[in-house]
Amino acid sequence: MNFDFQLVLDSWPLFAKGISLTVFISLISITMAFFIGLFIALMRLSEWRYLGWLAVSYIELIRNTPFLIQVYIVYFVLPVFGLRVDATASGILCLSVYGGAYFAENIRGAILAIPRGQSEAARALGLKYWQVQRKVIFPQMLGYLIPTTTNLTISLIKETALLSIITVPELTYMAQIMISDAFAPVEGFTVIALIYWGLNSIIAMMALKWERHSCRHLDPNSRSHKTPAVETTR
Amino acid sequence: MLKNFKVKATFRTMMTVAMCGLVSVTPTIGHSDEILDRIKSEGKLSVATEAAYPPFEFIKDGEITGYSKHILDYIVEDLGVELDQLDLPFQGILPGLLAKKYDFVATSVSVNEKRAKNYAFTRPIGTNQTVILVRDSEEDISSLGDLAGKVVATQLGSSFVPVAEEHSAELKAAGQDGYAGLKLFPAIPETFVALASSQVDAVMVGSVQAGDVMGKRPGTFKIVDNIGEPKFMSWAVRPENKDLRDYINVKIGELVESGKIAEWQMQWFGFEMDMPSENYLPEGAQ
Amino acid sequence: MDFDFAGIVPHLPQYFRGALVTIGVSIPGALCGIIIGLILTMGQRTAFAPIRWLSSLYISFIRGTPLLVQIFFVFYALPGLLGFNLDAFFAGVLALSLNSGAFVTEILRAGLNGIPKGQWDAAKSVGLPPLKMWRYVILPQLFFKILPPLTNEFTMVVKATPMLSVITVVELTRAAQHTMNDTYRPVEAFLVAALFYFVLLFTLSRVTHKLEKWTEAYRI
Repeated sequence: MNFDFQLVLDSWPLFAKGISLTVFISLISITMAFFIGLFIALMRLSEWRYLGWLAVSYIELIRNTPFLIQVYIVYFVLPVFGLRVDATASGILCLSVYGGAYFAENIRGAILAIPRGQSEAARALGLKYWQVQRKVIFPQMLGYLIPTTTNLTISLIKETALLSIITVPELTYMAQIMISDAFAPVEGFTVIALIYWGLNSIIAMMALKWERHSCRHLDPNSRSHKTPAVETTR
Repeated sequence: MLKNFKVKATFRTMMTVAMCGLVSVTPTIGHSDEILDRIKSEGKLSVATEAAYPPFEFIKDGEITGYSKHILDYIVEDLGVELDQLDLPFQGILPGLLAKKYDFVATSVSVNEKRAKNYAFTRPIGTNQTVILVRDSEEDISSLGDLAGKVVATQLGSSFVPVAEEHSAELKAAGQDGYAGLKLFPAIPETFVALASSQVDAVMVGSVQAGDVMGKRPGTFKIVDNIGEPKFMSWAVRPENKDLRDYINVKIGELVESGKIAEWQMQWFGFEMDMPSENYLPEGAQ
Repeated sequence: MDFDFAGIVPHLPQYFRGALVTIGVSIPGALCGIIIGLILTMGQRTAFAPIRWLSSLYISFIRGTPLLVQIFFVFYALPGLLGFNLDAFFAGVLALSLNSGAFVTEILRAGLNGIPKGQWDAAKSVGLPPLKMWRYVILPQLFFKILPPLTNEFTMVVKATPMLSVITVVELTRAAQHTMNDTYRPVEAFLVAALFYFVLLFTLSRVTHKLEKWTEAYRI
């Protein structure tokens, strides 16, 4: 078995294009997913029951159906409503909606993880509402949010590969083009696997540094290893 | 803690269990030139088909069927062996042949120079003209030139891809816009669905598939133009298995002689195709 | 805009067959995943450092790359490297197991860490040989700890199976694709598939939840 490095070098422009689109889609979708998640989490925690039910239905519906099926439905359903959007746009939409359901559970977990006594104690000490949020609640939430958000981010980056099926020219699609041109599945799939791995490893490392830095004041027992495992996706 | 456990022995047993459970080990196909003998002695023929290319080959009620299935059945019957027909995605079907995953590719592959250098092709089982298919209601596209600025779809890894790329480049060279996008789907039927649901403006595909889909869904699509010369569709074998190729050629010849092929073409396509017995391969072909 | 589910009805038998295949790849995939996970967990705990590194490298690699790419690799690249044939079904089961194994290690790690050190010490101090210690002390506790997360892992495997449609395993998603190509009703075809998946996955997640409640009683 010989690995054709020259071929990999020659195909690099194709991979580079794929990487930049993968990163672009991930950045936008993950940001949007976070805000959708925040919104849904607040809905679920709201005192108005119907709003809570709505949020739960959304979360359960998204989490109990596979991403690929959602991708197909969104891609084909948009034109039914007269919306002609590019595959990339419908991919971003899909990933945001999908990620939103997972982020919602994440954020809700983070909010519930902080005991009520914390804010009561802080208020009793004379801190104002926003001071309590900023100086007491939020830093503790970070200890929960950073590791779970990292997991989710990595999961969602991996999910972008599925968008190749609806012709979004991200990294996996580019690899398939290169492979069908040059008949080199070993080279193509190895290279993109390494690229995804590298990308995700960098994110994981940066997140760990961030977590260590921003949670250095926290009791180590309340940190990530006590964080319940988030239900991530493949 | 687990260190105390008899790791070595358990590791070995578990590996064995895992390997037995997981991997279907079929012996590597030998390097013999006489593949035909091996097929006969083993009593099993393994072929790969992309059963998503109607009416040549497609799935109906869970079974592979279509025009080429008749030819394959004729060959299998003559060999008196068991047929193992795999349905595989097109993008991996030719590389998989070289990787010896099956004996030959019984799916309609259009012969071009690049492919002819790497694979040994049988004599054509049919011909196909590349056409531009659009929605029936389409008013903006009436000829090839109108594809400028439009989104065109075809199949990933198909022979239509270089044709489309070249055409888009030609448009650009002539000072017009190229295609607004070339969307490559895993299989042809998906491109039709994407066209019908307005995700793309045009599909580049063989006349036979276009005719088939237009027959099945009247009033949905129309053909607006041809591109390039008609192409021969053949089956492919590994370059070192020419004995198998020659055998298939003889069988196709018999079917042409007996008029069977023409009959099946009328049944599946509604017209008869040119079935040349020589000069069908490009220069430098295997 | 109009939806028409009537055209899908004749294809329902295909969906049911597809659902059976989905379950049929998930069960061996998840079981072999557990075996691979066990092997990796032992690998991570052996005294021989290179084995530890290899196990960790494998886990990190699998968790850091998309399953779709792993499936493509197993189906298209692996047979050429190994020299023997893998049909789509086995390639699919293999890819799922290799993937799931890396996630099972996390479950096993958490489970083993959750067993108090005193349990090991006590077992040793009464002179139990390693095998008996595992059989009577560790495994029963481990079992109740990891049962709910393993059920959840099975759910994740089921949820990952649609990706096998790309290598033509005729599971539920592939059945929906066939239906789409036949009926030109892509939205309806995939909505029906989504319903099948929802029933399957929602039931499994309820089972996981029930198991969590039930095993709580057995936890220390």
